Amino acid sequence: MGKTDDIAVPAIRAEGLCKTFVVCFVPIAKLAKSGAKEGRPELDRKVLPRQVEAVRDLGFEVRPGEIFGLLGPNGSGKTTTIKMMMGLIFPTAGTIEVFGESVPNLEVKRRVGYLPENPTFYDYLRADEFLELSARLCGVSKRTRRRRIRELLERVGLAEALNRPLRKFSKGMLQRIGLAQALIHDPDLVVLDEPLSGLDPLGRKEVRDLIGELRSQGKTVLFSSHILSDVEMICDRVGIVVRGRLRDIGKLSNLLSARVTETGVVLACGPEGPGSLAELAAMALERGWETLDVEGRLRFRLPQDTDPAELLRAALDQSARVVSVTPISESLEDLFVREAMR
Amino acid sequence: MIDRVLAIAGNTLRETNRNRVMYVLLLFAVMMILGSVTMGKLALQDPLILIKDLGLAAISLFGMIIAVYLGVTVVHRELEQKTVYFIIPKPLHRTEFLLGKFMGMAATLVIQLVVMSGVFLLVLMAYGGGGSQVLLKALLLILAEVMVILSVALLLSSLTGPILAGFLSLALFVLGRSSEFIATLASSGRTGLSGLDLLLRAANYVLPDFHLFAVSGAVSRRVSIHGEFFSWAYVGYASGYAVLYILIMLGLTIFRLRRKDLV
Repeated sequence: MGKTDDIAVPAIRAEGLCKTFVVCFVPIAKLAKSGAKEGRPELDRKVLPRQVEAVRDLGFEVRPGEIFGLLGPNGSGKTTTIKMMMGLIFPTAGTIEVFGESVPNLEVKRRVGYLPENPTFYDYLRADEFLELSARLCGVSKRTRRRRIRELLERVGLAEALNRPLRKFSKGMLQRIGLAQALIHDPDLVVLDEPLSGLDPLGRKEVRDLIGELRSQGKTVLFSSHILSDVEMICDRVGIVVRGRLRDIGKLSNLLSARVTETGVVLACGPEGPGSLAELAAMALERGWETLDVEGRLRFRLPQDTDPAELLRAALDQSARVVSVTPISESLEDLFVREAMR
Repeated sequence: MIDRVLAIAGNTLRETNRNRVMYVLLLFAVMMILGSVTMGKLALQDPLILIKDLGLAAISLFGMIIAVYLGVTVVHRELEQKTVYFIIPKPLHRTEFLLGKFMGMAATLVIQLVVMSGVFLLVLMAYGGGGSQVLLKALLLILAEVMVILSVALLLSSLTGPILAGFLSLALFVLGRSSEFIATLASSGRTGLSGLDLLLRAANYVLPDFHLFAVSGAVSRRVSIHGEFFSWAYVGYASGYAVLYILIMLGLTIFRLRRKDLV
C-alpha cells in the first residue's frame, strides 16, 4: 500500500468497538442476591463470570497528518482502546482499522510506532543495544541502524547515555528512550500513550516540540494525556472518552464554547486596609459567588448571568483597588470536567 | 521472519547470560560434579564408574532445574513486567516471539550443558578416563531431555503462575522418569481396577517419557552407559521422540498465547 493511496483513507478508524473483561467468577446465588440474576437453588453451585465493560461502542476516525488527542479520566478506556489498536488485546465486538487494514496486521505494524503507558523495557540492555533490537525487529537495514540510533538519541536528549544500562535510567529518561524506539523505523503513524507523564516542564516542552516536528513531517500522531494544557497546545482534534464511551470529538475551537461563561474579578485592599475586603467577601458569600484569597488579593468568579457592576460598585464604596476584570470562556479543563461528570 | 526470530533469541540469550541466578545454578552443578570425585574415592568398585554416574546425574539434575527455571520465568517475566507491550506491537507475529524465546532459552541450555560437560570431562581425564562415544551419546540424551522439560515448563507457564508451573514441571519430570514403573503397574493388573489401569496406560502415552533419556546406571531398557548395547540408533529414536514432543508442546503454547489478551 503506497502512501499516496492513503489520502482518502483515515489513519485510524474504530467502529462499534467494545471490550469486556472477565475479572472473576462469582456464584449465581451471590448474583441473585444482588439482583443481577434470578436465583434458582439448583444453580447455586454454578458460577458466572463477572464482567467489566472497559470500552462500549466506541467509534472515531483519525485523519492522516493530524495530531489527535484521546482524553478521559483514569479508567475511561483510553489505554484499552490503544492496546486494541496495537494488537495487545482483542476487541469483544467492533472493528478497528489502521490505514484501511484490520489490526493486528504485519504490514500495518511496519508503519506504526508505539510508546506504551509507563513503559518498562529490558533493563539489562544498554540504550544502544535496546534501540538496535528495536531497529532489527522493525526491519531497519543494518547500514542505517547505527546512524538512526545516534540521530534519535541526540533528538531525545540521551546522547550521553548511549552506553548506560536502562536499569539506571530515570522515569523521564525511560519515557525518552521509549519515544526513540517508537520512531526508530520512521513510522507514518505514532501512537503515544501518556507520553508526557513523568517528564519535567522542560521535558514536556521537548516532547511537544517533537510531536510538532512529526506533524510538519506529515506524520499522524495519536496520543492520550491527562495534561490538558499540553493537549490544548498541540492537538488538531480531540476525542473525550468517559466510562468507555466517546462523549465528544472534534476541533477544540468547535468543542469549546466561545461565549463567556464566567467573569473573573481581582480586588486588592485599598488605603483603608484589609477590612474593606472582608466586607466584600461577606457579600460574595451571601450571593453565592466563588472567592479565593491569594496573597491579600480576593479573586471572584461571577456566574455568567451576574453583572460585575454590582461588585465593582461595592468595591469602590469600600475603597478597594480593582486589579482586573476578565471575561472567562470555557477551557478544555471545563469541558473535560463537564463531560466526565455528565 | 528468521531475522526477527533470531533477534528475539539473541536478546533472550543476552538476558539469561546477564542473570546471576544462572551462574549460581551452574556453580552448584560444577560443585556436585567435583564432589563426585570424593564419592569415587569411597567406592569399593572402580571409582570411574561412580564418577561417571554421579557426574551425568549432576548434569541431568541441574540441566533439568535450569530448564524449569527458564521455562517458567522467561516468558512470564515478559508478561508480568509488561515488556511485551514493547515487543508485540513491533512488526512480528506472536508465534515468532515465542519461537525466538524458546530458541534463546534452548541456546542458554546448550551453553550451560557444554560448560558442565567440560568440567565433567576434565574430572574424568584427571582420573585416567576421558571422552568416549558412549559419554557423548549420554550427554546428547540429557540435552534432548532438558529441551523437552523446557518446552513442558513453557507450556505450563502459559497456563498458570510461575511457582505452580515450576512445581507441576518437577512433578511431570518425576512421573516421566517413572514411566517404566507406571507401564509395568498398568500391565500387571495389580491395581485391581481396570479403570485405573486404563488411566495409567493413557497417562503413560500423554506424559513425557523421561525414562527414555535416563542412561546413567539404568539397565531396565537395556540402555546404560556401562553397557555395549547403547547404540546411536537408540539416541536417534530418543531424539526423534524429544523433537516430536517439543513440537507438540510449542504448538500448544502458541495456540494458548495466540489470542491471549496481554493486559
